Amino acid sequence: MIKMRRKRHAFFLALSIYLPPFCIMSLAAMDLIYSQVGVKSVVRSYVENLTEYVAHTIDMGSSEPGMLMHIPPYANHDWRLGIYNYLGIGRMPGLLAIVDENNIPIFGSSKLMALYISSGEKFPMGSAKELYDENGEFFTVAVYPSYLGDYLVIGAVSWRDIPGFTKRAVYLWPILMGSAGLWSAMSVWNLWQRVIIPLRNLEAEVSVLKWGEEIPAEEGPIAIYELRRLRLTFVKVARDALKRVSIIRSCMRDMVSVQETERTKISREIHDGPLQDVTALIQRIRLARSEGCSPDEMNSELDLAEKIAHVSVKELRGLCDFLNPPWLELGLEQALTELTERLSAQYGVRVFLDVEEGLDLPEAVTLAFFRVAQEAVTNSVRHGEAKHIWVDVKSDENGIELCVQDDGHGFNMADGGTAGLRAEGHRGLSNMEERLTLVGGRLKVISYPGEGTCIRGLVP
Amino acid sequence: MSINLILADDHPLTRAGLMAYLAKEEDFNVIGEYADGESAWNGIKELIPQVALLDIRMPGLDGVTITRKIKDLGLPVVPLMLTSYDAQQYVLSSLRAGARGYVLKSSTAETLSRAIRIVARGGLYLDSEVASTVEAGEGMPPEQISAREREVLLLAAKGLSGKEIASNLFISERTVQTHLASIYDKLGARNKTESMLLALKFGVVMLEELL
Repeated sequence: MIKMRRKRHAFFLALSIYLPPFCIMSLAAMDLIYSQVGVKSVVRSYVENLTEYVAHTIDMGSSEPGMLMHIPPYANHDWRLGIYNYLGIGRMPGLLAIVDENNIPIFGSSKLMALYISSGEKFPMGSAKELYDENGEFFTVAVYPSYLGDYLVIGAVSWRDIPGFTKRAVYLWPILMGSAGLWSAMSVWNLWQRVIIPLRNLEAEVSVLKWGEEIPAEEGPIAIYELRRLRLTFVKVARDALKRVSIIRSCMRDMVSVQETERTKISREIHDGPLQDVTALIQRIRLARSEGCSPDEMNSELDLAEKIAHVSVKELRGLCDFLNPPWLELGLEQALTELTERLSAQYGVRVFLDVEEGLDLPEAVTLAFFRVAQEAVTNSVRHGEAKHIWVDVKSDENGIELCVQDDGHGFNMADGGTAGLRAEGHRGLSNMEERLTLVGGRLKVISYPGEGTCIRGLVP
Repeated sequence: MSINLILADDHPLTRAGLMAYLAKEEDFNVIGEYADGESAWNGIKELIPQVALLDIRMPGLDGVTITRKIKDLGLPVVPLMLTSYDAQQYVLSSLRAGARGYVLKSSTAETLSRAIRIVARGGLYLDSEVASTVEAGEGMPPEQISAREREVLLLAAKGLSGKEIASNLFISERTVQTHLASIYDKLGARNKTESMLLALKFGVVMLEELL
């Protein structure tokens, strides 16, 4: 329904644009026809009047045709005549001839006489008519008898001699109008071809486009520059949308995979630790209860069971600390002290900690630094086989910096930086980077094979 | 007649507990104790125990892989899986690899001993915790399974779909479903895997037929 209305709207718009030039062209054509008719009738009445006047003059005045000499025989085609006539200073055009009742030429233009004789009967009496002569020249002619009937006066005007400017102005106007109409019709056609069609095409394409999945074609139908630009802009926007969707997707994928990895890790920790401990506990209790067990044996089994229970508690506590260290809320210094002591005890390495005093960090930054330090120290031991690790936190005008330096065997940064490492399945560094980015900081990793590794996290 | 055993478990506390269980039985003779898959496999090759108690998950080689290696080399060693996992799919893949028994680590000393004795005799032992809740009447299905039902079960165990079983036996898919439902009912199983395990346990089908 909406589409229908839109289509109709475009139709009426096109029609309303087309209508004026069409009207102008029609009017110009009508004007052309009617002005021709008008000129014809003016010329006729002129020729009739001229001829009648001369015929009358002959009767009223002198019977001598020679007396008519003062009427200028106009036989030359002179362009200036038009201007003279127009300005009223010249003479009217016209050819005259006088014959007697036997059609013997007495006086007048030889050209007209020749026309009269060759046309003969076709010459009308009393009213004007158009004729072509042998040379194809176009005339309006009229014949009047003198009052006494002894002469015939023939008058004619050659169309070539019709006052030029008048004639041309009369024709020029409709021609100009027609041309203007044609021009605007062509412009409308162009507008339709290069604006309306490409616009509709683009609209149709964009309206059904699946943003984030598809990109419109870069090349559409021939269109004006602005529309080409508009199309390219849409292409760019669609590309951006596509990129954004793919980034979101890869983020989601990452999140899911991180979640799964964490779950696997936790599940494994529980399986290998507490689950085994409790299993062992059950075994000990059963052994203590089993038949033929002396009180001493039973006591020793129960002692063992208690020890195992303690181990289990310790492991569960360790797991809790690993998942979310409760001492994190004591502040960065305490948290890092706890962490480094635990890690150095766990891995048998020496960790030197130096935290600047009086630092008051937001919780999020504390957590980020803590996790980065945890990951960095663990990596130093696991991948770098470091024996000594230095963890420093200090502040300067650029912000607060965490630095973890080790004496391990270092590594070569992949070409793609942390993203490249991540692509190879090493998430550690990119996780650190993401944590710092989340609190507005950045990560710098300096490492060369054989020269240890330095991890710097700076938060402004 | 004493039974020579090896025990492979990476967790020291449970391993110690299991050793204490085994020490209570006079006819059990533990000739090797291992904390990882590699050394366990070396021990098996060297000592050729009658029964190998293997944890499914261990550093190095896992229990299922060792079981497969034993089967591939044709060693006269009976693998018995000893694990914390009670997933039926684990049981199946262990059995497919060649294990003759599956016992949970949380079982009693008596259960463990019985399992070892059964597999040492060439029998098949499946922990009741992983293969059904049916304790009573162990060894005999509550109701006899028909020959046709047995055929359907064997094909289902091989991983064929209802449609494939139907076209194999020239019966309708609906009939296959009816047979399966009847099998579940008779064995007291809730799904296909469990019905397979129970059929094994009750001796309705042989391990070699099923896998």
